[in-house]
Amino acid sequence: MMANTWQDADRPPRSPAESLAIVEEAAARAQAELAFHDSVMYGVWGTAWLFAFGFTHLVVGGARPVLGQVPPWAVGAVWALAIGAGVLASGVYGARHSSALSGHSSRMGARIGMAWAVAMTATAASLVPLGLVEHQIGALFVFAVALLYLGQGSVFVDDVQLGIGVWLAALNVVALILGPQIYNLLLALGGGGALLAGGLLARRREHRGTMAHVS
Amino acid sequence: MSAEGRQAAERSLPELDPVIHAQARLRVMATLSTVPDGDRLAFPRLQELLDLTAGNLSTHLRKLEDAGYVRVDKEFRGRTPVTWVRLTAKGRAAFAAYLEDLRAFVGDDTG
Repeated sequence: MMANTWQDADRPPRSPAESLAIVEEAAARAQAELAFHDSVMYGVWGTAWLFAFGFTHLVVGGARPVLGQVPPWAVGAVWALAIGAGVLASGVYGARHSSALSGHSSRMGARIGMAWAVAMTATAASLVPLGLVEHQIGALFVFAVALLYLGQGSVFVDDVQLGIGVWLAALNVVALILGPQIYNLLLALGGGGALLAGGLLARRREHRGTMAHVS
Repeated sequence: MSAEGRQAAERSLPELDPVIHAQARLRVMATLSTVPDGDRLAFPRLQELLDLTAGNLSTHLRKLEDAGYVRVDKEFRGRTPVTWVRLTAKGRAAFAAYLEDLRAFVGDDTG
């Protein structure tokens, strides 16, 4: 309910009901624009996992890969594209959020971002010394991601993050046991799918939070 | 509404905080109330959320600041000046009391 002129902006609302409507509309808009929406991150990374693990499965998975003629470097290129797009989208979203606010939540957001960057960089740096190959490389990253979600879910008492952490840790072990022919398919559907499902749950929670703020 | 009806409605209105009870300042308070305690909102984002001119928003913020409801901090990020706005504890309490009065009235009115 936008005030059209400065006179409108300065006059009292016509009724208590109008006052409440003004409060609800302003608070809902602020929540939508200012709150950090986990659902965005889940959506970005769920899509990246689905795309990258899915493509890898089509190239190297199964007894007779669907895209068996694709050169191996193409898998690396697809991963670079998926991770690069995910990092870019997360960075832009996080930067827009933190530029609006200063204080505890922006400091916390910066530290969480740094923790993820350090964890992923350290994981990447460990691949060569560990001598990991093919699906084992993905498995080490998935393990690191699962630990981060387990930590965040515990600290923030966030059941969605905790659930994703537990699920990814378990799925990763099961997929490793079942072997490289099916590993990437399970992570595409079960991992990417879990992140997208987490996004839907987080979206519902964000919507409820917006309504609860002023009710 | 007739003049008599309007007078009757005004008589039955609770005593609402006049500093908050103006459309623009009510929207400022509602917006800032969503910012977590301990955080501050950048002036340009507040302006964007409220669709107000910088001058108009500054005028309303000054009234709220005079009442002790908001705090405005001007700082530099490198060489760029940045203005941050936040509700004070007094402002949060006043807004909560204002909403309580409103809801009590609307509840009485409808129930």
